[in-house]
Amino acid sequence: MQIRKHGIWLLMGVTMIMLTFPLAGCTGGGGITSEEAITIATEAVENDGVMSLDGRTTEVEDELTYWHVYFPFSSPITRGGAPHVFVNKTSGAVIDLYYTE
Amino acid sequence: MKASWRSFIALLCVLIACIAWSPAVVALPAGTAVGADPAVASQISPLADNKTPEQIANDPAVKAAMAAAWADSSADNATTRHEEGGWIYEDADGNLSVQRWPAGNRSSIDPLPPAPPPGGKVVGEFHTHPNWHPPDGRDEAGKQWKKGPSDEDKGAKLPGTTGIVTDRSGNVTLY
Repeated sequence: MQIRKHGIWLLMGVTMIMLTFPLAGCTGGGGITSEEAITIATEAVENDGVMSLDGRTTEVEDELTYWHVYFPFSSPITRGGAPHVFVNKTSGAVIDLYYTE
Repeated sequence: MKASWRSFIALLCVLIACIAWSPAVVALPAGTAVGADPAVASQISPLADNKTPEQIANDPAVKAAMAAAWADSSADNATTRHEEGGWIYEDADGNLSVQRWPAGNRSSIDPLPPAPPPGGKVVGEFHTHPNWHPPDGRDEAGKQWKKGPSDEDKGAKLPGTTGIVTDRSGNVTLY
């Protein structure tokens, strides 16, 4: 009986822990995934026509309400900027697009 | 005994939950900052000079080179504007000189391998930012540019040297 009681506590504890772990690629409560945000951001940059994405990598930062997707140069010696795109996590709308140089 | 078990398990859960949410676990992948190329970094001499970034930026030879680079950037031409830049060297006598880099692209530029004078060293670099427009950074086409230097600029700069960015505000930004 005592073992069962301990088991229940342990199960509750493990469940609580699992719920606290951030999941990679999750949507943070519904909406679009980081992978979808990258697709949206890539299209936005290509359509804007200011910077080519050749020779660049892709980075994503998980902000509270939006994904921050940007495309820094692959070359570590290149001085220069990158396109930065903020994608709304719920709607997938591009809420900001700016460039650094 | 039962109570102590519960306390132990509860404490364990809290501890693991705290670890799960600690910055070490939730930290995102590294951002845009990139390190200087080791192959290039190995070509610079150790710094033995105490010139401040302001002294470097205000040196007449450096100011003249930055002004020439800005003129060469064609900043007022929306279709041909591009970045220009160069290395700043200091010779054994403490004199500064500049070696320009090949012309860059609209918003980037690649340096030459540094070639300081005999007995000299790299003390800095500069480049132009022709896209940012005052007051809010938007260019003629309405594209939004952020005032530099960019994270890439900072990450690519050789350690221990001074970085200088010039833009159409007429001011220089040191980094």
